[in-house]
Parts: sequence; structure tokens; C-alpha cells
Amino acid sequence: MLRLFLASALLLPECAAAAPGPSAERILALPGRLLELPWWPISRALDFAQSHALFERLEDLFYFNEGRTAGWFPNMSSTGSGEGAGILVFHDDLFGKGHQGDAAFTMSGAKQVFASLRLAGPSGAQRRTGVAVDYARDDDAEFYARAGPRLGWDTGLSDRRSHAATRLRARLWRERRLGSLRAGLFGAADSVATGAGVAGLEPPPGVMGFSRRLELGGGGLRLDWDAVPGKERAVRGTRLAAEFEAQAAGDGEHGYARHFVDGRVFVPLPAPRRVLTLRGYWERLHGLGSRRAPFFAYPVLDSDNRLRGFSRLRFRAPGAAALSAEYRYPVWIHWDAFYFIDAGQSYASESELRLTRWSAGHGPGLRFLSEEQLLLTAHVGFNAEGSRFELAMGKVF
Amino acid sequence: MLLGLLLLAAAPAAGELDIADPAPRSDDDLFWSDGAYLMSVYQIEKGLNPAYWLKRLGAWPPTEAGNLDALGEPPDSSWFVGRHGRRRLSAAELARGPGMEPPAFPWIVEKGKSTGENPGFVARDALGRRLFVKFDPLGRPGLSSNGEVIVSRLLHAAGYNVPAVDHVWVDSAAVSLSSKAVTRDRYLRKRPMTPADLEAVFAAAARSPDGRFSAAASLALPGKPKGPFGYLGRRRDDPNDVVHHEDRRELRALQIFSAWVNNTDTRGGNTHDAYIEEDGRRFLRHYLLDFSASFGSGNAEPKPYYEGHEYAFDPAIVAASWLTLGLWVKPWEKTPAHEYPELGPFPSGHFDPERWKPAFANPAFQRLTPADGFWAARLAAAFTDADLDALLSLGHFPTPGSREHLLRALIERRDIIARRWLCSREVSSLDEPRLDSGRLVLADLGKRGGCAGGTRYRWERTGAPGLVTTRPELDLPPDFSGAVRVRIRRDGERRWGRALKVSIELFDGRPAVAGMSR
Repeated sequence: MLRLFLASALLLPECAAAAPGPSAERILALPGRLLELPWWPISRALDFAQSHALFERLEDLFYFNEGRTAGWFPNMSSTGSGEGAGILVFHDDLFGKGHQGDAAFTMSGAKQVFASLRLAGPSGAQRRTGVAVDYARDDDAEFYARAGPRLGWDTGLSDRRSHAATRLRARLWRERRLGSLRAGLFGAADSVATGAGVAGLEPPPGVMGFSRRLELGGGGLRLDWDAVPGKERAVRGTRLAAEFEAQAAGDGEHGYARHFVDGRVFVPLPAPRRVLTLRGYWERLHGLGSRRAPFFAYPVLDSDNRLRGFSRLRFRAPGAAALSAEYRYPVWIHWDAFYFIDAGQSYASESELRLTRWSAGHGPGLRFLSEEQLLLTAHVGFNAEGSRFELAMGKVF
Repeated sequence: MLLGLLLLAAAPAAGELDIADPAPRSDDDLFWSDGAYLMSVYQIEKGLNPAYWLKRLGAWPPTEAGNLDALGEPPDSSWFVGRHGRRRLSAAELARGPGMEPPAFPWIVEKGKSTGENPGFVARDALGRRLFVKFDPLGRPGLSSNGEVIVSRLLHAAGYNVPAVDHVWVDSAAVSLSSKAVTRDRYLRKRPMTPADLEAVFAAAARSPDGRFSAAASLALPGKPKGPFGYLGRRRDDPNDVVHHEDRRELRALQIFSAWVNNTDTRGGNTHDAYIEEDGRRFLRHYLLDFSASFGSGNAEPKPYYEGHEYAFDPAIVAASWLTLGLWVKPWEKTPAHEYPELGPFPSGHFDPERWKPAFANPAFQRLTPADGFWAARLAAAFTDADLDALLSLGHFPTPGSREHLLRALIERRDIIARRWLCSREVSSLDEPRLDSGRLVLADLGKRGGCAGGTRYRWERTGAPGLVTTRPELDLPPDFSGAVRVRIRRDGERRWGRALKVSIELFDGRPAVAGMSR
């Protein structure tokens, strides 16, 4: 080791520079200088990377043109129940007219495949038309149910069952912008086939829509209010989305109406760049007349950061409500840390709604938002059922 | 006058040996590894050295600079030549700086600028001189050129070697492209420079209402370029380079000057060694480069709030911000109420010269001792309000009130520096010992810094009783012979300050100051 160290002292300019008058301080510094050994190859690699513009080359790999209007980003998520990876291809200037489009594909092992395609008019246009198509295939989707069946708040982790589903959804929409408000109408179609999953117990009998192939069609209206200034860090403002949708199947048995509200308020705190994000979410499915809502249309609480730290598809029922508070604060140039508290409940009827039945979670996290709107988030959620680390990366739209 | 200017321009390098041509060193500014090393590995190494912790606990004396003479001064060298601190320069001398005739048009562009954020190029002017031209960013004339011009003059007057820089208005019609002009593409590959490249430079540059472009033009340095010198270690191929750079007084003291003008881009890559021949000797002269990130300038845009307060990667601050859940609000997070387009944010509030940080950790700055700080503050205090105003006359300030704001901020920051280092409890405020008609006379710099006290001085001599005077002057005995050591303390706010030790010896039968330490 001594020979290696002496050799490094001859090779490394920093070490070699410690020549004249080996004072006591410099002698005491020698053990620390052992770090120069592993550092040397790293520094050479950094020099090579900088002098060959490897960062620029790497960055340009994500774009298809010099104007950076088209490109791709990796889509990645790790949720404990599985790691998903894929790509998102985007174009913000289709046909040279500012039309937007993106296509995403994500795969998690051999069991889950997700794909989507979205096309829309220019983002700043007064009137826009768009289309969105989603495809999902999952051979082992979580399903928490008790006999009855009960699908909501009173299921436990031990109630996990499995189902398989293949789903193709399409939505055609048209919206109009009125200042910060966008109002739109849409038509939707949904084709779903469900069956037994590849692992574990299958859902109990009586679950609406299970083991069937259903084709549903319908439409609705949507309102989006976005009054958050700036792009890089949301530090004040309000975002609100509300939607009403009705869908029915040709079998005369399945059909539902869906109400959805999701609001976020960014409350600036007295200290700069600190923000408290408050979020409220409510979604409810009702059967249309004598028709009943199929289980796969039920809202879930673990998606879209509503109730973090729980297993995938952990809570799924005709009704869902969640509240979140997230305190964000800056730690470095593009990095914010946050601490969140989420609480929510899935329920079959409003009579089940009780604060004491709400599931809650909390945890710390980090988020990185680049100037190119590439978002990387990592958080750990703690709750009564355990803890879960989640990592996600993708482009913010 | 002319001789004086020539002497100022061509700084003598006293005592430099004639050396062989050192090995070429890449001029590439490889700041990734440099920055990563200095902000991570070097910091860990420092923490692993018990001497570092003992120093912090006060159980180990600070390591004083290694390039001082018997009077505690760095002698004139190829690094630094005492100028304004030694002999007051006139306003004209301050404004002239290293000396440069204004650039003459037309220009022929020979090379593109492939590093840095500002648009620019390398051109040859009508007098055949090579110029490095850096334009101000679009919409902010003066933002980067003010730093280049004013700070380079200020550092030159202090004693550092810098290139000659002037602010120029460039008429694009007077600029043409050489047929051999080259530039580098995004991947740093060399390619011919095209008219479109030149147009792109002008398109990104600040423009005056009459259509000309605002830029700083820097004269190419003389001699053979030998790469940057860096702030750590020595150059092994330079026999004159016998003191570790982090232990050079003038490089440590540069922390104070950089803090004063908020020049955050003081990294190794912005230094330059030139192999020159002068008076029959060949040696390396060491230059500081690139002052465009001074005041509130972040080069192509105003400085972000954290520059000057945090390193580009500052694990301690990141960890503190994270672990305190954002409850620790860094004072510098609060954006100044007003900023001028040509200055960016440059307040005097929250200015702590000791805690000020450049963008990259700098080993020389981190080894600054109170004695180094005193030396730098003394030099800074030598710049009067009028001196600073004369330097500011070289800048470009289109927004009403911006020049006055900059002058006020520079004066306030200078005074903060003087108070911090000239009134320090860690070093004596007395300085500049001289013998005048049989009296030892000292300068009380504490008065310049506005420090409390300065009404009494306590003298202790070998073989003589102690004495208290009201002026920093002491009569030597008429029969003075041999040598004497005198310890002088100045009264402070509550107690006597640190002692200044002065040795007086006979030289050629006459007493003279032979040494000083603080």
C-alpha cells in the first residue's frame, strides 16, 4: 500500500506538488491524500468527458432536432411492487404548426405493458382539439377484496388477490381557452377484457364486470383552471380540474356516471421559494339507472401521488377522496426537498365516509426539475401498512 | 510620467531566475474535474487532517503565507507588484491600468469563442493586435463588460497581473471574417467559422440605439501561453515556483478583492501563465483572467441569488438546508429590492467578506489568515472614494442611478472589509514602521478602518521600561547601537490589542527597520 501511495505521489500532480519543506501539517495530511488514488481515474474521466463534450452529446441524444421541439425522454418508475421503464417520444411542433404529440411506452417485467398516444393542437391556441389513446395490459394486477365483495377502505393487505386485464381507451376532445380557464367536451370509448391473474387468488364472485369483455362508450365535459405563474417551480397559484363523464355498455347491464374534482393550491410561505401545496381530490362513480359501474373504472388512490407509500391499486372503490399537504423547500439549484402528508379513503357509499377510516401516510422526498422540464422525483412513504420508496422520472407537460 | 506608466505596465519580476521553456500545458478550461476535486475530495482530505481541526479549535497556529519578506510583505515578483498600496496612483494611472491604445477598427475575426456564456470571438484589429472580444448579453449592455474593465483595473492597481481590457462599441459593418477563421461546434470540434456564426454572435449581443454592440476587448497577453497556474500546489517545471500557490499571500488575499467586487468566477481555469523574456531573463509571469462575473453579473444574465454565498456544489449548505426543513432561511435568499440591468444584483447588505464564497472552492482563499486579510484590507482601503469613482468612469451605465448605486455599494463593501480586517482582534492594526529623525513612526490603520480606540499606544522594549504614548511614535535613544525589538500595542474598545513586533538594527551605522511581525 505504501508503495502504491508513493507511486501515486509521483504520478499525481496534486500529490507531487507537496514538495518543499514537509511541515508537520503536510505530514499529517498524507493519510487523507490517499483519496487521490481513487480520484485520479475519476478526474481523468471527467476531463475526457468535458473536452469531448460528452454531456452535450448525451443531452442531444434526447432530441431529434436542433430546435429541440422533438425528442424522447426515459419514463421510469419504481414503486416497490414493480419497476417500470420505457420511453416517451414527443413533438411540440407537429406539421410546423405548433401541434403537440407524444407517445409513451412503459413495460414492467413481462406482466405489465402500458402505451399511450396523445395529439393536440398548439398549447397557446384559443381552441384546441385533441385525441388520446391508452392501452394497458396487466397479467397480475393487484386486487384487494373481501367476500361480498368489499373493495374499499376495510380491506387489508392480506386480502390481496390477482386479476388480469387488457384495456384500450380513447378520448377525443375539443376545448376552448378563456383566460386561465379551459372548457372542453369529449367523447370516450373503452374496451376492457378481464380475467384471472397469473398469481394468487382471483377476485371473489360478484365483482361487477369481472371475467367479462366490455365495450363502453360515452362522453362528458371537463373544466381546467390553471392560475399558476411560471414553469420552473410552482410557488403560488391554483390549479383546478373538474370532469363529468357518462359511459354505457351495449349489454344493458353496465354503465356509469363519473364525477371528478382535483384542486391544488400553492400557498407561498413568508420565506422565499418555500411553498405549501394543498390538494383535494374527490371522484365518484354511480351506476347509470339500473346499470352498474364495472370495477375497473373505479378510481384508485395510489395513482397520481394521491396516497403515497401504499401498494399499487391498494384502494379501489366507486368513491374516493383524498387530501394532501406537501411542504416544498429549496435545497440546491434545481432541487427541492419536500415532506408530504396524504390521507384518503375509498368507499362504496357516502355512509362509509368517516375520518377515522381514512388511511394516512407521510414521508420525505426530493424533486429535481430541469430547465427542460424534466422532472425526477423520489420519495419514501410511511404508513400503517409499511413503507415504500418510489422513484419517477419523466417530462412535465 | 511616461516612464512611470511603462514601469506600471511592464511589472518587474524581481528575483525571478532565468528558466528553460516549461512544458506546454493545455489551455483548455477543464473545470469539471477541477471543481469536483476542490469541492469534494479536497474538502474531505482537509477534514481528515487533524491539523485542520486543531486550527479551528485554536490549538494550532494558522499557517501564514510562505512568500513574505522580513517586513511581512510579499516581495515584488512575477505574481504581484505593489502599486497603489505602495505609491498612490493618479486617477489617470488608475484608469490606464496595464496600458492599451484603444482598439482600432476594422477588425478581422480569426476565431470563434467556444467557452463561456457570452457571445464573442478573437479578432485582429487595424493595428494588428490580437483581441479577445466578449459581448454583453442581449438587453443588458455593460453587464459583463463593466466587470471586465473596472475590476481588471482595480486588481492591476492593487498589484496583480491582468490583461489590458477596454469597453468598446462595435459596429458590425467594421467586422469581417477571415477566410481562415475557425470555431468549435457544440461538440467542441473545430470547423470553419461562417458568416452565420458571426451573425449569431451579434444576434445575442447587447445593442445600443444606434445599432452598435457593447463589448469588452481584451488585448492578447505577451509571451508563450503555458496554461493556467491554479490555486493549489506548485508548477514543477518552474524553478521559480517555490511556494505552494495556496500559501501565496497575494492569492490568499485575492479572496478579499474578489469578495469586494463579487467576482465569483475565480477558479484555476481563469488564470494564465505566460513564458516571457524581459531584461535578458526568461520566466513565467502569472496572470488573472476573466472578471465578467463581477458585481451582479452572472456573465450572460444576472447572478442567481446563491452566487457569492454558496459554492456551485456546497454539501454543507445543501445538507443544512435539507435537514432544517427549509426553516433556515439563508439571508441571501431574499432578492434585492432593485437591480440594474447593467449590474445585476449587487447589494452591500448581507456582505460578509469572510463568509463570501466564489462559485468554486478555492484552496488559497480557504487558507486566508487574519494577517493575509489585514494585508488585503490595507490595500483595499488605499482605494479612496475618488479612486473608485475614477475606475467607474470606464464602465457603461445606461440606466440612471446605476453608477451611483455601484459606487455606493463598492464604498460600503470596502468599509466593511476595512472594519473586519483592520479592526481585528487577531492582528495588530499598526503597520508601516519607518524611522524618521530618530523616531520610530507607525501608521495606525485602525483609524482608517474606523475602529474604536487609537488614543494610546503601549511600547515594550528589550532592556527598557514600558511606555504609553498618545501617538504611534517612539523616540529611539540617542545612543542607539546594536539591535532592539519593540512590541507595540494599540488600545482597543476594552483592552490592548495584539502586539506588533518591530526589530531595529544598524545598517551602515544607521538604525533601520530590519523586521516586523504581527
